[in-house]
Amino acid sequence: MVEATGLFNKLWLVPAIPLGGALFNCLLGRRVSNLVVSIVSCGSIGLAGVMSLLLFNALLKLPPAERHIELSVYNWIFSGDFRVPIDLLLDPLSMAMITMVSWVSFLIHVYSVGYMRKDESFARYFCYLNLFVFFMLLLVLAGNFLVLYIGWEGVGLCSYLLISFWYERHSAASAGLKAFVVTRFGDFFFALGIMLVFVQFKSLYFGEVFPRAHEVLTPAMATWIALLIFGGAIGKSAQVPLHTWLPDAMEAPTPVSALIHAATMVTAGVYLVARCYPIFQLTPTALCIVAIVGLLTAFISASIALVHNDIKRILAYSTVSQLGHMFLGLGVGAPTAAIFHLLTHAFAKALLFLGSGAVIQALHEEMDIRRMGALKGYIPSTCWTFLIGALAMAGIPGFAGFFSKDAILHATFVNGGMLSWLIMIVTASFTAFYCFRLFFNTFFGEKRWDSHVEHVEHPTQVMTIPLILLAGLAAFGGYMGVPHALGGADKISSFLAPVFPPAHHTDGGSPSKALEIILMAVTSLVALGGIGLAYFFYIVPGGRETPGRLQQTLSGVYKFLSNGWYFDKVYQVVFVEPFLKAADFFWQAVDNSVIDMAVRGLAGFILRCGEVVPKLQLGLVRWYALSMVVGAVIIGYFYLR
Amino acid sequence: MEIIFPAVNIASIAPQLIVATFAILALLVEVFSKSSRLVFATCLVGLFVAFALSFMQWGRGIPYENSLVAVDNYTTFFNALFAIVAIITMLLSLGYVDNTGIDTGKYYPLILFATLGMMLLVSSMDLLLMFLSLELLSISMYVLVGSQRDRWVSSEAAIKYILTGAFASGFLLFGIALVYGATGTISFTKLESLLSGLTGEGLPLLKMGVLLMMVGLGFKIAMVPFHMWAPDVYEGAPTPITGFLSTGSKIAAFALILRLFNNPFNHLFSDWVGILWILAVLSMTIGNVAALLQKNVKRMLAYSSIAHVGYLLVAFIALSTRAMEAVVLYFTLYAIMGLTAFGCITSLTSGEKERLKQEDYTSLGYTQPVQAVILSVCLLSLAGIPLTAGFIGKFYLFSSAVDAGYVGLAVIAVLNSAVSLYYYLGLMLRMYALPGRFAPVEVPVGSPVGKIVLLLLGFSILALGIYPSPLVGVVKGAVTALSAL
Amino acid sequence: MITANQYLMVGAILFAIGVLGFLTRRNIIVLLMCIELMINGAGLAFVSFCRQMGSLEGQVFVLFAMVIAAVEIAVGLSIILLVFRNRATLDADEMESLKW
Repeated sequence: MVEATGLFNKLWLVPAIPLGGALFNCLLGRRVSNLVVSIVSCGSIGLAGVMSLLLFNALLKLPPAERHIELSVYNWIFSGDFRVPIDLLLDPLSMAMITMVSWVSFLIHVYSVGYMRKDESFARYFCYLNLFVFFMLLLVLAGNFLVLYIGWEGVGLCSYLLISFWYERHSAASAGLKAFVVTRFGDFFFALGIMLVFVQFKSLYFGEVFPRAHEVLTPAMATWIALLIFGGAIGKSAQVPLHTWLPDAMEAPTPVSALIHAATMVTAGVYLVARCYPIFQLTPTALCIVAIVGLLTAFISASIALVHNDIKRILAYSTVSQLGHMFLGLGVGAPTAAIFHLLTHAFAKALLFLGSGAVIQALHEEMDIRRMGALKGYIPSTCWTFLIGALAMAGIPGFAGFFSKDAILHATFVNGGMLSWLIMIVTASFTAFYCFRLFFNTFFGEKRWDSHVEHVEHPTQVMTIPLILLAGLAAFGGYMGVPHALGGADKISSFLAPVFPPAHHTDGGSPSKALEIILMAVTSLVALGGIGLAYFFYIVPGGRETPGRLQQTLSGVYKFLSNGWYFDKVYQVVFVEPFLKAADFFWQAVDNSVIDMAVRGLAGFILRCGEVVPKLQLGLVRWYALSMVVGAVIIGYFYLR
Repeated sequence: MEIIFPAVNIASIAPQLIVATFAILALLVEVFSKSSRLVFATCLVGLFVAFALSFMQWGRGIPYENSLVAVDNYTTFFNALFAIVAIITMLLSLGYVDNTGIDTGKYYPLILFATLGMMLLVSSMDLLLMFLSLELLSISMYVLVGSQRDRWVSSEAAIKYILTGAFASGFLLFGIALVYGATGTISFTKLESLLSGLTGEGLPLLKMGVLLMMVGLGFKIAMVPFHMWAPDVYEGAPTPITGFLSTGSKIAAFALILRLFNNPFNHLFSDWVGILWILAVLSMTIGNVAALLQKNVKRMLAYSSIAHVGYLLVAFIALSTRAMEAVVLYFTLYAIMGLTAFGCITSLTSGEKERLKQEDYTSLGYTQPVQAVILSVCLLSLAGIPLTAGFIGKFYLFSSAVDAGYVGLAVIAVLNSAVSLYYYLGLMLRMYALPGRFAPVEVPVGSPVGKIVLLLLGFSILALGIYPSPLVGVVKGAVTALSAL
Repeated sequence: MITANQYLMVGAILFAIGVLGFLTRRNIIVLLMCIELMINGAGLAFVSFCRQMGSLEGQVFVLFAMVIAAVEIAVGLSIILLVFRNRATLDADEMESLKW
């Protein structure tokens, strides 16, 4: 452990500056002009970003073994022996996260200035957004479970507020509620996990928990804790079976979807598992479950994305699928690859979402890709940046997603077996297909817009510049992790390596370079195949009818997919309706008669007292004096006895 | 017998002297210039100087050999606290006093005299000074409560307050006489050394005396069963004075009780534990239950302040250093919350009309968003919701009680907090009820200064809920002085 | 020979008369007088203790207590005047608009 010194003492500024921005926008936002609000909110995030770069620089100057800086900011509660400290921890993992979070947030903030320029609640929006960044940075910088949990719940709250941002819309309000309830369901397990950690370690402090994990925990206990923590991650990161909230969350303004539901908050679950990796490593069972959940999620949601027509929902399912990739990476013992994929995915997906926001705004809130097309000529900058995002997402060699996805697939092949690798290859083809289905349908082909779209609205400068910058990141972000097989240095892995102690059971020796290159070639070919298919279906004149015919011949499959594997329906039938029925029953039979009598009896009794007790105040001075004298006499009787 | 004139160390009681001087000065200004603004300014300057001086005195205690006044961190802390409370009260009164027929020329100097009383009360090391400063505080308060001469409730509150208050100080005085009779001294330091060895004859007399003193002091802090005056007086008093009364006056008397039982009467405390246990439960429960269905917001807050005395007693019973820290911390936090709550009501006054009824607060969140948000934060804090100052305060109080083994009492306190949610959140929800058929009530013309002060107060409630450690550090420093004697 | 204890008893009786009077009478001026009785009872107790112990503090205390009593009466009477101007009554039981 290294005590924070010098620049690292100012680590707390990284979350504090966005908090200041949030406070400003909350208190004064409505008094000042939108320009001031934008400057303050973007500026505060930008400052946090600069701060994180400075820290990055300072961290790189330290030898790898010392890149673990702890800062106890203050004690929230310090009473007797009981202490609730606010600890921050800066190590390569949190360093990578805060750099990504602050800079992606910054770009999305800038974009939002253009996107939200006509909204009445401009200041409220930026207040929530800054607050979100604060909680997210707190989450990733947390040095103990309690601070992490505060950040965890805080981002959930902001997510709820932002999904329901247009609360006049019924669907937005109910989507916000759904997201809140479903993620809370996961949080419940996470909270249990934290309690279990406290029971086992008598501490919530990372520095005391993780290094001692292998001494303190029995394998069974490690499995329990790991699974409970993973339960929280499933909820937050929208993994099967709790993934259903994320597509609905697309009711939020599009930059919010980009920030919260693609780049940052939903990746918190991945971060959490990576952070708790010392516990997961003790338990192959838990790792296996993480891998299976990730694999299933990746495949299922990629297949759903194939058939959806709502531009944002396709991206949402794609996000779920990519998060599944990350969990798979964690599960098969490649946490560095998972974090690498987290970063590259953040760039690419933020880019795609922001691009889709520009498309939606250009067509005046149109979201159905069947009513788009030919936008290349109208909004070219969006089109070409979107293309880069789609290439990165599809995993085309050279773009960011390629390197990270390859790392995960490679680890899957080595540690996860042939079958899971094959499933992932299919998923990769799906990914490439739906990305380009989206791309071609939106920007190419003939115009299919509604007649009410009189003129296409062009994105403003503040919107295109973030797009271009993100496109740069999506194109070149992968070069921080070029694998050794391709003659790269794999910098990201060696940077993150100190966080993750070498595993015991993974690493089947260093596999041959040839195998790695062959695997890469296969995935690239499959991805190209997916793109080619999309090209054939949606661009080539003769192929245009194929999707329709395919839809008819495979109508069962199509319905199955477009209903999202019936998850929502099943939940409706299995959980919601029986729950409502049971609730109804309990309400009628049990509640009204038994519990109500008890509860209402008690509450009624207290309220009844509330009527009676004040009546003792007769308003008469003599009565008050009498009560004092009588009180004194009674006290005196007991005291002088 | 020869009389020795004591050496007066003026510098050591500078804050008190400054307040006294400026209070008299303000009266003179009032006589000669008739400008209420000048009076206001004089009083404000005096308080700021007193605050600055007590700031400088921090950490420079003077050993009290037969001194009437304790100059230690405990005193200094409360000097600063009372100066701030008085400053806030004055600033919040700004628009209010002009609209409600209060003679400002006497009003502000009286606040200073009351503040002087509080400061001296906490610093007194002698029963005589204690009695005098308590009376100075009380008498100033009687007049302040009755200062709205045209409103009947104000006069009624004043007459009730002075009658019951004087009645209670009669008990206090007789109690002091008995203590004096049992020990032959009125100095705290001598009392402490005498009491440790006192047995036999003098003891019943002494205990009787302490009992009667507790009647008088229990009245000041509005502890059950000496609380009955509080709701009436709080309701009838001008609203800024209600805030002043429920924070400054109560804290001063409670701080004195702390000093009494830590130092001179320490040996008698074991007899009081059982009694205070019951009184704590009664104060919490009666206060909270009576507040549940109150239609009048000021009266509701008055009952809730009785409940808060109960919470304070929960920790006070432990009498450990940790508990004293918790109590003093809660004083500070409660001062902020009380001033904020009554300050919000003050600033919502429009012309002569005050918003006193619960109905007046319906949908206030849409017509008066700023005050509504601040009042909501304050109510949440009073209820003890996490991330507000009230949570921190209650956590320290109850955990120190648990630490000392009073688990049952802490459980009752937590249950009481749960009951209190009903009326705190009830008012808050009412403020955010969607405006339907309710016509917006007339718009108040609160002074901008008051609004800024309220914003700062609301902000500090949140800030202290998130980052309490600096205040906790200062409080720890203050309490060390208490146990060091 | 009258002992100090007997003075003390007189003081206590005075105090008790004051308390009982306060509890039974209705006229607010009489209530103030009862308080005066209580304070004077306490004063008598002080003086008798002083006499017993031969210390000076009690006598000093009595002087101050008398001053305080005078101030209390003065302020009390002025508030009574205020009340009387508002309602034209001195009956303590009629001052009950603030209750419950």
